[in-house]
Amino acid sequence: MGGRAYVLGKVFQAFLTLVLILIFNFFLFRIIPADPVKLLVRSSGHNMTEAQQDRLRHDLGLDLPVFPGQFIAYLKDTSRLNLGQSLFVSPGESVSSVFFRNLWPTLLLVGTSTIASTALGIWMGIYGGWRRGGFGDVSFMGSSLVLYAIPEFVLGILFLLLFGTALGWFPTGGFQSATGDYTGLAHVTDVLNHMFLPWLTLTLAYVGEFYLIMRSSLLDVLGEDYITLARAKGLREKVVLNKHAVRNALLPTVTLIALSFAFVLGGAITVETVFSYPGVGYLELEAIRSKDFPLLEGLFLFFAAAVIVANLVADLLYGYLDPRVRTA
Amino acid sequence: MVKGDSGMRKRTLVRAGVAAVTIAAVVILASPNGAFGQSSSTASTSPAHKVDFVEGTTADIKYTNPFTAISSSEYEILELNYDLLLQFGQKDLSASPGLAEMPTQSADGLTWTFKMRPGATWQDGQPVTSKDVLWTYRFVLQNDIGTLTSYFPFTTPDSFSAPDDQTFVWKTSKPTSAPLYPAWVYILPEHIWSKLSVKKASTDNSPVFPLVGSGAFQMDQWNKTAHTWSLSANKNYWGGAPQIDNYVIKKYDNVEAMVNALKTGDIDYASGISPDLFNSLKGVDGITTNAGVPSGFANLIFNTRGDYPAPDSSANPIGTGNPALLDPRVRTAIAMAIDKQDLVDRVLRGFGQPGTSIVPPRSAFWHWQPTPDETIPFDIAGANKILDDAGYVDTNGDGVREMPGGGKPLDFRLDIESEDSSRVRAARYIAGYLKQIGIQVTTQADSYQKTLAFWTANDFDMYMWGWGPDPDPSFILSVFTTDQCEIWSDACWSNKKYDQLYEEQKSATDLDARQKIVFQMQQLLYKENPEIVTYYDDTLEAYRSDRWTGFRLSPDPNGYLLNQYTTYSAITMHPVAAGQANAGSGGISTGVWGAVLLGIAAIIVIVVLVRRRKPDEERA
Repeated sequence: MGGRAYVLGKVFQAFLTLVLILIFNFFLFRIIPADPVKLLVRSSGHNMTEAQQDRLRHDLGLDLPVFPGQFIAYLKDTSRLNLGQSLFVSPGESVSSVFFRNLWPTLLLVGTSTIASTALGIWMGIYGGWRRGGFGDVSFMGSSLVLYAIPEFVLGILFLLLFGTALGWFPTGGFQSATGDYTGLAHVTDVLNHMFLPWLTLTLAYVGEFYLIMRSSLLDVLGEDYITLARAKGLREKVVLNKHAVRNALLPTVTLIALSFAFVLGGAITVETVFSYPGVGYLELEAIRSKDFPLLEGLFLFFAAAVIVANLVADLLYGYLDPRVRTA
Repeated sequence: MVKGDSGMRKRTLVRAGVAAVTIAAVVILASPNGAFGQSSSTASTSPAHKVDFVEGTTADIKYTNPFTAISSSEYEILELNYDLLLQFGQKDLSASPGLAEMPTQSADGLTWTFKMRPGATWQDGQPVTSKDVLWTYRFVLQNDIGTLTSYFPFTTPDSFSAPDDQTFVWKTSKPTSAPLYPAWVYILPEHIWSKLSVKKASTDNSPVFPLVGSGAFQMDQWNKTAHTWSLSANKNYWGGAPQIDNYVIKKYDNVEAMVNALKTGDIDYASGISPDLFNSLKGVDGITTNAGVPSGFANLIFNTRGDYPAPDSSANPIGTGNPALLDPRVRTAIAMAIDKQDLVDRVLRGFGQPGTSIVPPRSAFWHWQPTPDETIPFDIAGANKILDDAGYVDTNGDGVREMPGGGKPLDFRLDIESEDSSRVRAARYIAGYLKQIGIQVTTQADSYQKTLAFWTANDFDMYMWGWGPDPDPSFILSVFTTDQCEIWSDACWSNKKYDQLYEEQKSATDLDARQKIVFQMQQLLYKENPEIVTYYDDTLEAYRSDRWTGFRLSPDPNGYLLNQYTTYSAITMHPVAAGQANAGSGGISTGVWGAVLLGIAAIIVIVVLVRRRKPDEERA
């Protein structure tokens, strides 16, 4: 198979998966036995007559049969990126607008912490794999296994209690201070201060994952014949490591990195909740709690699309990094 | 292979570029005009000396439209931003002058005349007139706005008139004391609201800031990212200028986080604190706690719907309720088996009182207490005897009684909202009490929405709920009328006598006469037990007394620091000392952050440069 066919094949696969998810997403939310209108009436406290409820049902398109009426409307709206309106979390606001409002804080927090834990984890993995059994390797291995094993929300609560409540070094939660019209640098500082503890939690919690993968993959590569050959050629150890070993050992890590970035979009549900950080993970929890179906449906679609795209990127990168994949 | 010089330089540039872009992105994104600083603010940058007061809450604010607002926090925004025609008095919450003076009543009792307060203005400078009141009240009746209509018995939209700008007239077809409840309907500026379509005015949830009202504060910012709502002080308020500049409400996800924020000084005041956390605040330096008289109650509701069909019912009129609960003797036995004092001690840690009637003690004048003779005592033996006598006996020896004649066992489902830790604990104790009288209880904790779903489908035996009613009993009494089935009614209980008394109290013009009927209604509910009021929980609040003083309790004594249905405290509270007030969260300074970011940038640059200087041979 040539390179072009490989790319087209992968793109087609991704597209097909997306379509299947789209269909699944629709029916998933239709089999949940709850009448959104009834829920809306009781929680909003409106004294609605049956006729008014019917009108609302009509406005929401719930008077059509599930199939094909509602399904066709759903496909039409989704293709126009119209995902409907939130019912409870932010009543009346469009799902996309709610999502994008919460996306920015998440990108800032989870995005930068993923970059940091990736960079740190890979560096530690290379160092540990190269000096296997050394002091650095043993201490990295010990600490990253512990951090990886502690659930991230437990780590978050520990940091919150220690640095937030007991020592008072950092704010205990939220995205920014409630008062003070901070502008310019003061605002940046305020946001960074609020972000620091959740950021530290996420970075430390995920370093271990990258460290372990990178280390074991490097160890595999170091046993290969071409490494022995490189050494036999008289190349310096550093050159052997950087040019011959690390390059090849990075391959499995690429998939992990791509998928990690896909999950950035999904936010970090537990850590965002512990720190009341208004990101996508927090939004997800709120939507589930309040049974905000249109919002949940939209969120699921965004996440699924993100994972599919990231997978596609990983596949394509693989093909680029390792020619064997393309021709296999 | 040795790479050419140009390739090397290119790579270096790329690396340096990536580093620069990353740092720039963080700075830009976090800047107030960048993506992360977005808010719907219209306020300009304020000088540093402004006095901000920050309140923490766990109740979300979703609606600021007075026609759609429902939660206590939403009503708090309304009370700060708008005014009532007559407001709740500071001492006992009875009607007192608001946007109008106290009304005069005609000899036949059918016409009430209000004189508007001279000099009251909207926050945009326009005068408040009787036309605004007329527009607001008519809009409520013409468009059948939820529960607000219940404040206007015996009226039609034409019952109201405004003969001149200073006079408002309210006529009724029967004598009533309704104008003195007082009507909890915030007066809106006609010159703004009449321009909206009916649909937009009655349901819209995209407010234009600043909100224009006549209140002591004006909401000018709703920051959906920070979960904060800010109101600036209306220094021209007719009731006196607030002594602070900004009143900020911040939403927390849970009570623990909110109490933590109070301890660290992020916020100045918190309410809705759970008993355990309230205890943990006692004796903390700089914090003062206040347990206000209960303003609400928790109740245990039985499925008493039977075959009663609601007029608009889409739910199953029979439902899945256990038929034993239709028997008042079973309900009385359950009421006798519940140790309410024990619940107060264990669930509320003593911060409350055993429950009796649906009008909480805060409304002292309307609250009914059973006489010792009428009291249903805590008496397990007595409860067992009632069930034995009524023929509910355990025929198969499994410890659970069956319906008379050996039918269905008395095995009841009890739904509770999992978010409410007090109710979850109470449910566990209740299951324990009822086991002693041969009744099996299966508790099931679900989300608020799911509990509602069971209620809508009439698919429950018992559930726990709670109410925080108006100071006037009219609304909470209406909840138990037959008309409210499938609307507000907890269990679709239907009782003709009760319905009739409800109508009668509406037309009682004399306070004492009305009180008598209101007492009768509470007594009837207490005897029939369609639900059991388990306890009244104290209103637990705390504030930073090292920074704030000048609160005026309402009601007085035993009242609340804030969230008083009015703005008495919000106007008078002030910092202990000038410049000492503003709440602030911890964190490191801009300088340190700058140094850290520069440090990271420097490391990246150094690494790049060092690698660049290496001889080509090493890079091969």
